Amino acid sequence: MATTDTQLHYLTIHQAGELMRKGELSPVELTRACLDRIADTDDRLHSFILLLADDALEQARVAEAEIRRGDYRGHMHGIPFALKDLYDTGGVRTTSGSRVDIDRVPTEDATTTARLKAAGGILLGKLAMHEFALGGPDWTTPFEPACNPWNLAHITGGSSSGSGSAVAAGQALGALGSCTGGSIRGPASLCGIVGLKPTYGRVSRAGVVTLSWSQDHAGPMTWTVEDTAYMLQAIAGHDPKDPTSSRAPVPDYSRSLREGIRGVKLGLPRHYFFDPDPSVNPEVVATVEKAIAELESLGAIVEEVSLPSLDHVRAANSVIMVSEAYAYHEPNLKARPQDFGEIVRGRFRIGALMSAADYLQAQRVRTLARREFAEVMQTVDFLVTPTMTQPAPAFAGYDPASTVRGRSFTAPFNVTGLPAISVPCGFTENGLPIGLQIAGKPFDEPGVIQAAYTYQQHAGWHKTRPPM
Amino acid sequence: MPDPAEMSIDELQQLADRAGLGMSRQEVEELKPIYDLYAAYARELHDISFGATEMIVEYHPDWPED
Repeated sequence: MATTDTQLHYLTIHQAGELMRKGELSPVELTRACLDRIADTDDRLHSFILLLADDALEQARVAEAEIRRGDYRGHMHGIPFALKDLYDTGGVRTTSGSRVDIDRVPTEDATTTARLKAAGGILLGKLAMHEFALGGPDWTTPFEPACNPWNLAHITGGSSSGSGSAVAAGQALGALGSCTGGSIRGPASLCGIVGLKPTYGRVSRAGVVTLSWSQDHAGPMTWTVEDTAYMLQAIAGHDPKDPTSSRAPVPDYSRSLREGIRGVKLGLPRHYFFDPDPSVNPEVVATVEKAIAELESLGAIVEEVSLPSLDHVRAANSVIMVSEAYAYHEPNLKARPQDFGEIVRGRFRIGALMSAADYLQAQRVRTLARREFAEVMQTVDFLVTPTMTQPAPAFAGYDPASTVRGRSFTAPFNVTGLPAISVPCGFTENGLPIGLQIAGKPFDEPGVIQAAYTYQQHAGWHKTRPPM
Repeated sequence: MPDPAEMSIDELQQLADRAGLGMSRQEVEELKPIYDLYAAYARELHDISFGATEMIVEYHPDWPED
């Protein structure tokens, strides 16, 4: 493992922003550093589907001129970032990792893309992903699967696979992922970075290709919690183009970062997340238990809570996901099934084989879970759990069905819509990252970010970078 | 030992045909193991007792803004 040093591509958004604001770093210099890093590493990582080097340098020159004349727009100004390739980019191909959309060029930016650009961000390119945000690494799709920077023989997790590898390897200072059952927090956990799934409705889905309307979330993936706050700030807020977008006011996400967690109540749903289960790796659980003990040492109060609906939430998430995905993809699945990769073609077809009653039962479980979580969240401030059941699996022998079997620690928060963050909390004996998940009340992203920041500053795992 | 509730290949083929998926026999056979996982989830959802509280589908895409 490499300790974080002063190489430009390893600067955080916060560090780079401070240097730029003071005129000590140029956006062009930083963008070049990221492009050099991509050139040095992407033949092994395969994070990028499309690199926009010339455009990025042009944007960086504009940002440099703006900052030089005193028009500094804030933390994202001049910061090189990248997008999972299901975020629409006007005039730039957006494939969703699929042959189906291999020539698709949107006419306008997704709202989130536009907001990051308006904040002064420099778009480096479009990132690898699992096809249409589902399944796993699939060699029958047109793009190479992204590899994990901590061990290239291991997967990144997904579906925001390139977002995980790019941020972990210092190819981009931040990225956007999307999440329907864990696709932001999963790769964040497996790649040793921070990933936030905001409250449903907090960040616009307009211009983000749909997997499951009622469970899709857009959110940031960064190296530090503080950087997540800055990226979220740029993209959060009501959007009339998204009918599910919330009108709740947008607070300052970095304001309460340093307020600590003394007296904060953490709920521990031990029966689902910590008790032995064949689908759960004991090393992951032991590491997260240690992280929770550290939170306790920082003044948090830990209480066990019970959420019986968790036993059925995975089923509800899965049935809703494939049913809604089929409804969206039906025309292409019938007209040109050969253009889908094998994994996603099968999963989407299953959506056609679910009955209306199956879908409605899944939605009833969702109602049950939302009520149960709302009740428990009146007694605690946050829920703390492992993010993933396992560390990153190896490509060799990888079984795509493993994303359907067993427990899911992330799906409960897609089903309930609650905000949840993954923050690195250690490594396995083999050097693979492990993530701690902190979930909060609706729209309490400030609280979730504050708790995760407190832990990250105390634990210091962000000081170690992957060995490449 | 297969779960007695599982569909046969023939039944799954009929279901896929009725859905208009145009799947070959080989595709149906390849789909069956993963379909069985989802079908088990669906059965699980139908086996839940929701108790006395009426658990209607009342999904709201937004949280109350108070």
